[in-house]
Amino acid sequence: MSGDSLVGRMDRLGIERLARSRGLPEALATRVADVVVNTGLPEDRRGEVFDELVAHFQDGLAAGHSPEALVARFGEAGIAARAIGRSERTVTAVEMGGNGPRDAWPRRVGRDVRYAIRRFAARPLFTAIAVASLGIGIGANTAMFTLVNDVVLAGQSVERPGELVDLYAETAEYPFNVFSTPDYFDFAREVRAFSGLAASKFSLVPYQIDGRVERLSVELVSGNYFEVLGVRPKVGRLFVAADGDRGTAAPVVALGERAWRRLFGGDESIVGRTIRLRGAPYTVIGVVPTSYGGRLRGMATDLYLPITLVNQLEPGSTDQLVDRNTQGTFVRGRLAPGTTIVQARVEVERVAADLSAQRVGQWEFGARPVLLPVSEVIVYPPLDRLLKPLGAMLLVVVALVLLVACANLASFLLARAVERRKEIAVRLALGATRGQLISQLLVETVLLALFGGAMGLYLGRAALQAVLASELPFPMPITLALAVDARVLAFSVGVSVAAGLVFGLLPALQSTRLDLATVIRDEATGGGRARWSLRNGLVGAQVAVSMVLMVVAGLLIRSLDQVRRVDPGFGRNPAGLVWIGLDDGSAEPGVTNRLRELAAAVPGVVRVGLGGNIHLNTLGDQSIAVTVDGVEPPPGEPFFLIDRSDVDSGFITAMGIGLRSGRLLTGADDDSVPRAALVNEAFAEKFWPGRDAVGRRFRNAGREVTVVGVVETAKVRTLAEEGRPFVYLANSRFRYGNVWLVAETRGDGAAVAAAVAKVVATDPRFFVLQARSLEAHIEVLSLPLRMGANALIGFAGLALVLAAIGLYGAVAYSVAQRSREIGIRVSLGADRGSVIRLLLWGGLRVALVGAAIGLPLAALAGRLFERVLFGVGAFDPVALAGAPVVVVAVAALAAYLPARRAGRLSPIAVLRGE
Amino acid sequence: MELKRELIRGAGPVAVLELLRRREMYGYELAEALSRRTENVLALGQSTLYPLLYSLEAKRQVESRWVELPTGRKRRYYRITDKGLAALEQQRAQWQELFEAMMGLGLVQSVPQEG
Repeated sequence: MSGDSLVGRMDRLGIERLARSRGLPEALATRVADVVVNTGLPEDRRGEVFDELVAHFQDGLAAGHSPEALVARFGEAGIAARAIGRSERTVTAVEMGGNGPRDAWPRRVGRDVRYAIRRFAARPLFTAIAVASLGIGIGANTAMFTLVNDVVLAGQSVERPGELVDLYAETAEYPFNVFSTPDYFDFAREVRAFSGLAASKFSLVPYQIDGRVERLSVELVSGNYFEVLGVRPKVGRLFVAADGDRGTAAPVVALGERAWRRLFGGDESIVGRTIRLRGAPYTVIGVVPTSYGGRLRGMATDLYLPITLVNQLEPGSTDQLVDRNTQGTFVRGRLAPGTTIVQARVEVERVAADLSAQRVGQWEFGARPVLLPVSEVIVYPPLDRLLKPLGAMLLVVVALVLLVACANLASFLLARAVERRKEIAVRLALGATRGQLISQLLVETVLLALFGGAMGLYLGRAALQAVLASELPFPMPITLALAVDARVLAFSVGVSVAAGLVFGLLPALQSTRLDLATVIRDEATGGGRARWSLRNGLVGAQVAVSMVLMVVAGLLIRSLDQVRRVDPGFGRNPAGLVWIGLDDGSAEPGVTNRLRELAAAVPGVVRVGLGGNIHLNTLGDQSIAVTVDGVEPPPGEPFFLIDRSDVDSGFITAMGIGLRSGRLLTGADDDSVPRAALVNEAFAEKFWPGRDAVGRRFRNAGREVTVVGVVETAKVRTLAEEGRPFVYLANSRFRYGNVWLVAETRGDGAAVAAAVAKVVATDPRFFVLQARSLEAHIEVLSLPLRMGANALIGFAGLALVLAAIGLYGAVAYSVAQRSREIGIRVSLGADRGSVIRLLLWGGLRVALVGAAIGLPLAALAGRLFERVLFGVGAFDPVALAGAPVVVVAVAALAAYLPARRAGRLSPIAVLRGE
Repeated sequence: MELKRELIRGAGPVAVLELLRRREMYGYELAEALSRRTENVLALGQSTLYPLLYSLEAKRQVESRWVELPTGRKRRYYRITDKGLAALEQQRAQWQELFEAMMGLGLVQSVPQEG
């Protein structure tokens, strides 16, 4: 080790002086100083470089060169300084126990990134296809993940969610029934195991703003609701227990942040002002932050009001604070410190037993309380049972799409890696290490994947927003945040990088595992078939996955077709359906007559009917307790629960439901004693099999009801059901503050429904909740299936196109690789047909193997999705036979195109190597 | 442009190792030998010779020692190590094949000209 240790601490001038003291002329001394200062080396290393450069120039001078010539031959000082700085650092690293040349990795990656971007720009088509296919794959995954993130992962900002427990009532009809408001008050008062028990009830309230009426989603909550959950206000204050005091509390309202921004532009001075709901003033006290979206995830609540005001907000014939038979109140409690859910269950069961003993509401008929930790609930248990398999299915499907996209990318990269073998061989020969090349290839792939990921993020969100903007069978607008939060970003970037690494590593390893001599020899003879088989494997896998998706898509299409063939038993004539809210909640004959008059005057309307409930209503069921003399109710049950609707005299005919025997209802039946009703054939068959039901009686809540007619059985809850009994009660006083208006029309039901809605809205007593054709109403039921089918058709088509591109590329590549062989064959007398057949078969063989592997997998996948199928089995022969035909046909086309081109090759040109 | 730089970058170490295989040399001597023996093609900038030497040293393909001349001046002498010899042998074979292949393709008739 040598070197002037002083140099390390010297500035530029000092170094220059020292160099001159060693006999260097000024020009050379300057150069030495320039280099040494700019190496950026640690002090002790500078001296050595200094000594060596001084020696270099001294030797040059001794050889008789002029200082100017030496400077010129030495080259630029800056470059030398940087290069020495780098190499010296590596020496240091070695001495410190490192093991060789280490270019600082950020610099290396930066260089690789720049190089990759230049390559992308030079091959825009390849880049676009690779980015697009990955973008679609990652987009599908991002969309699903955003949903999962919003609905499942993004926990609501409540305090210590582990202490929260949901209460439900298990009845014979429904395992997760909710409570009546008085039930809630009883539990809240009696159960000590909870530090607080909070209630919420969902409602829709019309709100007039800027001359239009908005339906606002309302959560009627107990005064302690926000305290129990631990939600803090964004602005102002939230409810305290006193706000829920019956009768004495001033009417107050808290706004959801989203509604606050939408309706009031986020104006903080709204606090303290009043807004009018159903004609009454409410003082705004505060704003609930978006981070708490409401009791049911995904259904953003616009307004929060004390549940004690329920009767003002849902005017009707019953007092909901007293009525045990109106069940719509969700109950969620926080366990008291030191209390377990088991202790809480004991107490809750004791209160339930008291209620049963009092024979009130659902408790009279053996409802049992159910306690569920909130952590086990996604939205609402019955909904979760649908959400989970549907979500799982979609997650699997999008993962498959991503797999196909990645296989495609890998296949492209392989082909390109083979094209680049020459470049890689030269670079290896020039001293690049394999590690450097692999890292550079990986940087390229990961960069591609990240571009794809960025596109995916955009596509995924766009797709989700489009889906959510479409008509969904939910009672309230779905308002998901769809936030690109850290988790979604991390997911997309993670998937992208993982896809890039995993699917880029294989081609990178392949293409750098080169024996130079082999490549150079191969290059001359057109060989290189080793890569061909790996590509075939990838293409085969793509075909197999496409096959699976095609079969599942086929099964869903067949299900959809079956659903469409089902006759719902009503709505065969075009009709409009308008769901109307009654502002003061009462539906006296005068009010309903007015509705009928308004609707009947609309051009195109043939007849009008009103009902309190509608067939195939996804928003809820209404039922009554029925007992019939001589017919035993189900074991352990005091009665039969039968679906029903209150209807006026026009309802049955407007719906297009046929009369089988007896007569239809008339206006006179409304107030008759005993009450008059129509039943469907399923009802008649259940209670009076083989006998005429007309004139017979059943009892509901102790009152006699006479059957005046029997009508055909229409679908009540689902299209799949078999003859569900149904009762149409003569009654034009609709209890629940809203009514369904059916208008049979001569023309387009949707247009007429819109016209009726417009006319109805002119009367301030009415507000329109929904207007659509009766056909569209029925269609909503098949919406999940339709959406699933559309999504899968899209995904399956995408996978097939990707696989076709892969196959096309593989065959085209094989043509390029085998052009010499083809040329020889043709020049030896093979006809073009046989050449085409040879190549076509090469590609088709891969597709057939893929299809053969895919078919049993597809059958298995069909079994998994059996639950969502309708009217077809998992082994539906049409789907299982149709999918291979489509897949193989597409594959044949993809292979034929390049094969045909090969058939046209001129053997002379090929052999000449052109 | 880039390929040329790459080429030089690849060829430089082989050339230096080959020169050092024959005998121990100091920096200025190496620089002179490179330009003389390769008719200036591999003259490099002399400024890139030193980083190249340092990185070969880091890879333990060469080693160096300081020698004090009778005049009192110091010089740093480099010599090839066994590891350097092995690397040289391996690269020489590759260059040989590459060159022959290029010749076979009619791509090269002689060594590339610097431009």
